Amino acid sequence: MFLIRVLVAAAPVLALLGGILWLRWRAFRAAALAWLIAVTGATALFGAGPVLLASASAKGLSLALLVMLIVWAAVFLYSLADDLGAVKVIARKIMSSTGDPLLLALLLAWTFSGFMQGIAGFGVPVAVVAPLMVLAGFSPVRAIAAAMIGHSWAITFGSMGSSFFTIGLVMGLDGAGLGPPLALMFFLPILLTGLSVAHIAAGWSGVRRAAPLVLVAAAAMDALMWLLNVLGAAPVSSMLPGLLGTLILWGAGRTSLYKAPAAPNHDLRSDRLSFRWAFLPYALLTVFSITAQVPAVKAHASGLRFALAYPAQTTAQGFAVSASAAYAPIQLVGHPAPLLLLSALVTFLVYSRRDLWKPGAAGRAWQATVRQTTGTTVAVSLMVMMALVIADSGMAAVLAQAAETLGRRLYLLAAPFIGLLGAFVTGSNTNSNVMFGPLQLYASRALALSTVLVAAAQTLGGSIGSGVAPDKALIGVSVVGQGIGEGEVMRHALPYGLLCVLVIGLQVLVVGILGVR
Amino acid sequence: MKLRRSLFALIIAFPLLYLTGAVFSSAVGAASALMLVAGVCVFLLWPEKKTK
Repeated sequence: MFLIRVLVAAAPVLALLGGILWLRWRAFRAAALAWLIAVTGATALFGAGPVLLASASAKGLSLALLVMLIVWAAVFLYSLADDLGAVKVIARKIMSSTGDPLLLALLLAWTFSGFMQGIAGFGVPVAVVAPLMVLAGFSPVRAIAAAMIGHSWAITFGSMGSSFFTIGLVMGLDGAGLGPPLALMFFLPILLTGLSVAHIAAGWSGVRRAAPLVLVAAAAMDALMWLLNVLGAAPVSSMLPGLLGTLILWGAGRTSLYKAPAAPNHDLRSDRLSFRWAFLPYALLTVFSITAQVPAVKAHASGLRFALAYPAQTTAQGFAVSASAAYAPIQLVGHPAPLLLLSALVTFLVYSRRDLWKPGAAGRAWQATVRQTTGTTVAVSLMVMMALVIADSGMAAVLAQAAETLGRRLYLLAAPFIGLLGAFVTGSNTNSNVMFGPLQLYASRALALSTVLVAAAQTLGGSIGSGVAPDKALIGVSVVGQGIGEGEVMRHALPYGLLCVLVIGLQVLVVGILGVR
Repeated sequence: MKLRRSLFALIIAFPLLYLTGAVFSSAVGAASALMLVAGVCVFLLWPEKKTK
């Protein structure tokens, strides 16, 4: 009976994966099937009534709203910048830093995307970097796949540390106790995501050539991430390491080992914009994002938010979901969407004063946004609704129980995969930590494992899983266009993600065996 | 057009799901809202007509 419950609990996720990867369906079709299977299974075998299922589905749409507002705003800002010619100027500047395609791929997809994840998150790095890589000459599929795996190291501490704070909250751990050891364990993911980008860009020869540079940069980035956590600055411990990595690679491009003259690209010349005005929208986004994290600003603006309250629910089999007074709150100051739109508004004001604005740019950007983002919105909405049905009906708890039967050592190996699963399905490290954090806590106590170690495993796996999740592929496909399918992108990106998480699992296992707490 | 219609249907379904599931806890209302979402899913899964 337990095995049947495990299979039914796993069926929605298997349907989602199977639809995208094997049937090669668009994600919204696979997500539609997965939601139907989840609701059917929850009703038939887990005692979930219509009230609970409706509440869970509404929670899913609350979460989807939080995420999709960011996507719409990010695509709008990008479409606006593209229409104004700013993207081409930024691309020319980065591409003029080096003519070495391997170094350029690492600069854009690994370090700069990590910086963007630090300040924005929620797929914005893929939305910004993938088109730049296409402009740099990479194929759309490789560009999106590289951006997906390349920025995944920065997700836990990205978005100003939202996923990190979530795992600490749900597992009852203090940030000061969790942050530094977690940062140390991020060395291998930082290294492996860099080598993965090198492999996507230039195959095994690229990996051999880039390995020394990636090793040095990864060590420096992780050292800074650790130091920032020791100092209590977890919110910026993806952003600043990403910036440091970008500077290191930039400097390496000027040494004899990696120096290569940038190829002239007449297609990218623009008479209208200099680099500093072209970068203005993203410089503004950086400033607004940092300002929004200042404690005084956060405290004053904490009441300016939209959130719905959800009551406690219980299935007929006794699985209880606790109430939430403000589920998935959208902060006016702090949520990336208002900051992205504010960046667009200030860009309009500055460009208008300097005669750099193009009439009708906002309208064209809006039309492009609607065209590119509708499919993504439907897919993400259905996926997150499915995830919440799985969580609130007790199906997720059954999956975690199945994982516990593996025993202490195999559970340590499997723990990051649980984090990956949650992030893969919901597209969010934060959501995965919310969904599986309590169950990881339950398992760590039951198996007498270090809670810090298991929390680290959960969010490490979630970080990589979020980076290679279908919604990131959808975002990349939406922004790049060119008629490619998200399934093709997933088949390129997912193997790197699975390999990274396997190495993370082995790392967690070794640390657990050595008894390090 | 299929996707835009589905998106509009989900936008309508959101308040219905919330009100019937979380606010009024109405089993009949919740079931109706769930049927709306199920209808959207079936609509998305329905094969496209091939033009001759």
